Amino acid sequence: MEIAIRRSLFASESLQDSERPAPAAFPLEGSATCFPHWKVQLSFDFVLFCRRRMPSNITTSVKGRLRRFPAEVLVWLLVLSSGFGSLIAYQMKAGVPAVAPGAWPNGTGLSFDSQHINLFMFAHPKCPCTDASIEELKVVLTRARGRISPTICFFDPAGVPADWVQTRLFRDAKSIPGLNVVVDMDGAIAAKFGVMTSGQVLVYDCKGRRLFAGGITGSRGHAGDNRGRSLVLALASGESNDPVQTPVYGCALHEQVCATGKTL
Amino acid sequence: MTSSSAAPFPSGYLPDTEAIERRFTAALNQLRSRTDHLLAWLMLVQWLAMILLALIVSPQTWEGRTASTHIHVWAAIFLGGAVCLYPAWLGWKRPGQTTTRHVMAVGQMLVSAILIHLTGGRIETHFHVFGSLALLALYRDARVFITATIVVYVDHLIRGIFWPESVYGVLTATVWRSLEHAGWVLFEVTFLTIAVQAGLKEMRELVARQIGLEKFNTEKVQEVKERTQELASSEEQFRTFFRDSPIGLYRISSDGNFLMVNSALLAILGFASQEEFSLAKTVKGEPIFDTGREQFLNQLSTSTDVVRRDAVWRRRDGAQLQIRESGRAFRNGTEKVVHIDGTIEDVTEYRQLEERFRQAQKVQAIGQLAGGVAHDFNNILTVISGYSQVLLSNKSFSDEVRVNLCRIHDAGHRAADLTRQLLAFSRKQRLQPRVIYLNSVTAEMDPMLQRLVGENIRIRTIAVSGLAPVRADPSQIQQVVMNLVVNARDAMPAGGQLTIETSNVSFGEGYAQTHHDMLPGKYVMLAVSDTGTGMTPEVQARLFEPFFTTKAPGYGTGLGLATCYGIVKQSGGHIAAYSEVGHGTTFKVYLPCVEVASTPADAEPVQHRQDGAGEHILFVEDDSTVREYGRGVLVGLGYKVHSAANGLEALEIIRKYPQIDLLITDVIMPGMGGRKLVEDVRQMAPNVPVLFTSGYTFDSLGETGELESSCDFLSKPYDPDDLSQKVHGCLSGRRSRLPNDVPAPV
Repeated sequence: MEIAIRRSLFASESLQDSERPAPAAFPLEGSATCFPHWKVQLSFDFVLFCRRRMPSNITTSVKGRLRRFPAEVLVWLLVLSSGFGSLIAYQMKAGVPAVAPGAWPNGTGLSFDSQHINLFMFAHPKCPCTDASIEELKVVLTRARGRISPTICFFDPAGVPADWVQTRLFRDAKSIPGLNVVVDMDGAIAAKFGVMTSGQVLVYDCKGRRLFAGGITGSRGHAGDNRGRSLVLALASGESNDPVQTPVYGCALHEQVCATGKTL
Repeated sequence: MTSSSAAPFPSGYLPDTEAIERRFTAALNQLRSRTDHLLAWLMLVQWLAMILLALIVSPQTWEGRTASTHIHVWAAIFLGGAVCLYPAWLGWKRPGQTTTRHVMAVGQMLVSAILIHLTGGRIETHFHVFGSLALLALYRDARVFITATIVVYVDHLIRGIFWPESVYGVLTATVWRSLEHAGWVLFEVTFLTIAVQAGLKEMRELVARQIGLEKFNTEKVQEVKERTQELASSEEQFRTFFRDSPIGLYRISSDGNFLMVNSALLAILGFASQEEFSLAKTVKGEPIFDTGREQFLNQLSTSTDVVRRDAVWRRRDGAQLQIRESGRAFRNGTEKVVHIDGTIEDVTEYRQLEERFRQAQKVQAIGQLAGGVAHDFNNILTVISGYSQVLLSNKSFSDEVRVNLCRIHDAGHRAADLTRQLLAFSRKQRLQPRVIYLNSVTAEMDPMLQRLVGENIRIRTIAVSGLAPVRADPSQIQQVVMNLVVNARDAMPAGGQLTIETSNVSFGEGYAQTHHDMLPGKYVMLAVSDTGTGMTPEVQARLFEPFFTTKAPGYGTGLGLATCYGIVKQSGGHIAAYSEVGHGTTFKVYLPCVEVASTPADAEPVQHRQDGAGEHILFVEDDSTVREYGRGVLVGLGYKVHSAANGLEALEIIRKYPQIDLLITDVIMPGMGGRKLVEDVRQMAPNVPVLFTSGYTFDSLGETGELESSCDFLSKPYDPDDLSQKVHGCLSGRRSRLPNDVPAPV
């Protein structure tokens, strides 16, 4: 493809400015492109646009620069584009959302604060992405100023060492004032709320109605402003009471089970 | 730019703009290449850092109890590798290229992106972007900021378009929000660009200064090189001059040690080398230098001018050397004498010549004196001898009176001989040169010389055959030979051998240059050698001085050798003496050769007194006694005599009596001399014969001493017979010269 682009550029160099046709479409050769077709076309349309309107000495300069521009750089940029595209795609790949009950279920073993909004976060103690969720939780708790009763449940599967849950995340959560840290033995609590992904947040109002279900990070393991955090804060401040759901980004709390019953 | 900057080099050394640009571009490329290398290393470090970060922050991803390698680790390894390794490779392989810089900028910005991603978007990690921009500023190329800013902007633009929540935290955001992030980057880029431009300006100024200094330095080096060459050339010229100078040159230290001497000085002193000269303080027990030299050096040390002196040194062979020494002291900045340069001239020969010249002047002065005395003395002798002759011719005197008259007459002749020698010495006698052969002269004199020297001295004559003829007065040459032989005889009181030798010799230019009184050419040499006592140098120095004699009083007049000297010189020759005490003396007479030999003139026949026949003779003589004596003699001979005391009076007479048959005139007279008188007389009587008389004649008759055919000369003192013969001869010659139609004088 890179060869095709260069060839087309050189083909148009022999034409006079007045004779040069407007670049209606870029004549790409080869259909196997890892880069969107229209983006390449846009780029070289811009070049030709400039070539038509710039003085000849400037266009000559541009031509020279383009001619000197190594093809390997273009390949490098394309590789990087695909790499960064993949990375961003992974970053934006949401986990399995929870199938949480609309009302506070009984027998969860969790304390429910009927005076405040109740926020529950489910976390895998070793999930690196959940670090960002806890950071965002800190922001939420800080900004909500006591209007939220927060609880975090750390997944502690069966058959693991006793200190398996004692991770940096767990210790970090324990250090947050007012945060109720609960060890979810073998994921029983998560199962009651249908939670499948670490970082999953569920918000119930003081009457036990679920107001929010989702993540409070904008992407996987990425702290910062995001829609989930904003919605939770809006609920805490009473600006909104509408149930909302956002994507959740984090590790899976449970192994995926295939039809044969084996973990994937 | 460079003219406005404070240039640290002198004006005139401003480099041209093209050179600055060339050097600046080269320096910039070098700097950018170095930066490429630096950032290449940094890329590798950052790559390793991002892998390490991924392993620490998110090493694994989990599904329940199952862990797997986190995709961040793979991203750090592979994507980070892709981001870092290509720029690093370019930095190593293509440093300094524009593409490398821009790829490096892209890579650096993407490293920031990966790091931000790996740290979960921590705000602190965003500082890496600004740090990267600062690193890119090392390139001093503001265009890389454009690339970096574009990368940041495009990253946020794409994320804002496709994943707005990952950047803005909201699901929807306007594209323009991406400008906010790029704006902060631009904020830093703006100041970095200013700093880069300032850095470039500073760098250009440094380059300009460096070029200026290099040019200045190059020119100075060239100048030093040229000066060094000039100095070397000057040094070489000095050395050549010093080496080849015909004058002795030396350089001595302030304490008097010889530092340099040239070959001329060594030659003057007879040394072969400077080492030999430096080591020698004495020669044959005598110091080389005179005792006054220390004082001379002290004088030089205190004087700023050239100091000269004459001194006597000794050569290596012990011979004395008269030198003239000049010197000057050279001082350093503190006026301390560094060295003394001096010259040495060998003036030995000059001094000898000077002494000889002084001697010649003395001889000339004495000769003039003697000549003057002889002139007046001859007038007196003419009267004495003449009248004594007249009286002797009178037969009436008794024998006793006649004997006394004879004594007076003989005394007059001896006095005449004396004055003749004086005149010969003073070269004012009249010569009668002829072409003669010296062998004939000496052969004729042999019997007389043998009698002269006595029996205890053996005369040996070596007469070379084919001897060239010379032009000289034979009687004078005989006088010379006789004087030299007598001198040799007196030098050999106990007897010995006397050698008379003749030969042909030839002198070239070189000999003539060292003997200033000789011309180059062919000569005939007459040498008279004896085996006598010899002479000391002091005696030799005064050898030809009149009245100088080493003989006992009464045994020599001191005029013999002086007479020889005068005769030889008057004949155009040269006489020299070579003598050594105890070994004898050789006198050598050199007379110039003549090309054509003429037949020797026959001896003049002896004539007796001839009486006149009433011819008119004008007798001009300023001395009244001589005039009266002559007039009396001529009248007694039968001539009609008109006498005059001077030339004017004579002219009056000849105007009155133009039939004058003979003019007899003294040569030297007050007022009008004889020569002028004859010229005026010739206007009125062209054919009248003239007889000149004089105590000495040469001054008035000219250098050659030769007379025209109608003139004759009678030297004083003369007796009546001499006068009679000359007058008769002149009148006879006139008659033979007169044409037939000319009436005979009355």
